[in-house]
Amino acid sequence: MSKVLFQNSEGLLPAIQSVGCFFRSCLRIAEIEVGENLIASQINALWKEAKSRGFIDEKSEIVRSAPIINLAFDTLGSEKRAAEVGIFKDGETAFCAWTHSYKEYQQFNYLIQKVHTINDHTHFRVVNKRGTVIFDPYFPSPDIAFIYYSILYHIS
Amino acid sequence: MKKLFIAIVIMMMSILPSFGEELKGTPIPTLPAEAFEQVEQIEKSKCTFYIIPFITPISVKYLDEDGKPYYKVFNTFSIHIIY
Repeated sequence: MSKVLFQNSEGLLPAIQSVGCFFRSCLRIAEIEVGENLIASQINALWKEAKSRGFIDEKSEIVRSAPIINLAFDTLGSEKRAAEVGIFKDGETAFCAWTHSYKEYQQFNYLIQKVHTINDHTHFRVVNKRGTVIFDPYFPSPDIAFIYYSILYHIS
Repeated sequence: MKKLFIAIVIMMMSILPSFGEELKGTPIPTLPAEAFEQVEQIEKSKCTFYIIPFITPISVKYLDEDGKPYYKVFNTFSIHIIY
């Protein structure tokens, strides 16, 4: 199995290296679920695909995160699907309205945490239910000043 | 006495055939032809079968690009044969 690549690993597009922390966090969820790692060419291709399909806007900001995870599932040959089901902020969990009709989707497996670094940057990383960081896309991991919120993802 | 005995035997012989004829000739009730037709119709009706069409809606779960579930309803057509 190939090694885990960080957003600033060699071979990745400059855009990913500079602002691809959220994007790389999305892909990492798919990698963990499937048990395989993406290689640089696959990550670059996914970035281009996500941009062409409007999941990433012209400013390289993520517009829709779950479809990016699902693109990664497709690349890894998995039929699994990720859905954004809620948000955890200030100690409270709020689920998306549509999940009230599908209670099973209120079980979340992963969170992507938006944080503020001590260098005054916004950063994203993957955490588990307990809030433990399971993947920081930047190496070395930046020091965190505070947490904004976490997005909850259900994998089915 | 001997003549009397013979006379009784003769009488008996004359009576017995009539008993025999009566027993043999017990008339079996014959059904009219119409009755047989009715029976045939009953036999045929046992083989009559009915084809009942059913349209049953079933819902199939799909996931969209965002991984959100949605359901599509399809109508399935089936035929039930009852005989």
